[in-house]
Amino acid sequence: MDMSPMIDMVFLLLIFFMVASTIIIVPIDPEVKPPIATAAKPQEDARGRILVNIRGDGTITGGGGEDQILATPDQGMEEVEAYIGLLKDENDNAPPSVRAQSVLHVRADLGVDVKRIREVVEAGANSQVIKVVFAAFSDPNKYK
Amino acid sequence: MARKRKFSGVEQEEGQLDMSSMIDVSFLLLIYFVATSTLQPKEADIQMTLPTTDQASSSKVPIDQAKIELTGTGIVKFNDEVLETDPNKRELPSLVGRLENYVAMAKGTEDKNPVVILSADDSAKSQRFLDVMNALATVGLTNVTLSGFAAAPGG
Repeated sequence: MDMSPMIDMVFLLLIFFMVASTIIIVPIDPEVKPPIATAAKPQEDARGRILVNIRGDGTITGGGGEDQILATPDQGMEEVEAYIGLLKDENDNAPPSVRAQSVLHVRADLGVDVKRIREVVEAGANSQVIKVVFAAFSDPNKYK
Repeated sequence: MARKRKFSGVEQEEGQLDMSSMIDVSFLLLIYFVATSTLQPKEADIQMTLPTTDQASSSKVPIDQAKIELTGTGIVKFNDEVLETDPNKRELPSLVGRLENYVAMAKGTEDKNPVVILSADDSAKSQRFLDVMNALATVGLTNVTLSGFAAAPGG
């Protein structure tokens, strides 16, 4: 009988952490080290995001992380464009209560050439995704 | 009556036994979620909106567009004026200063969406590109045109 308030608390905490963790997690490619930008704002909304990872060597992966390679360093943007277009359509056809504007979430490695970033943004623009978000760490001492 | 009392006594005993294993499981789950949610490194956002053909036509009095150039070696130029030459410096104070002036100037006109043209060399590095984007975010500019394509189709 004494235990019931404790169980209440435990469940409350459990539900809180379950909800908090599902909101923040965007599937990421662990091989990408995002650059540092001190003016970056914390993620507010993870809905509608189309994740594209760009590794240091120019390999491009999708939201599936390591398993979803869209382009090797010497390949073009055909698959990337198809991937963005598909997710954009999915977002547009979602029920109105959960529909969100498509946002291209670019996780570019800090050492990759701008050429690769421009190509990905271009691929997004071709599918009418005009909002772009670059992943960055706001902590200036992250890699020190 | 006597029969009923006997039954309720048995039920209570069983209920207490059930609870302890449930608490074990819920504690396990709790610890799991506490550990995983703190392990995730937190990434933040630098936002940017590509201009559409729609937006371009809505600006009534276009002011001189600011042009930022980023060379392959990391030199940052603002309207052809060389501002930052050290690619290892993360902060770009002189660029932020120029951009603040530009935003203040844009506020005086009817152009509510000041646009910046960013032409970055293909061989420039991602970190340097984000340094420039960071300066733009500092002054609140999100409408950026990347050279190579003028406007997104449709919109």
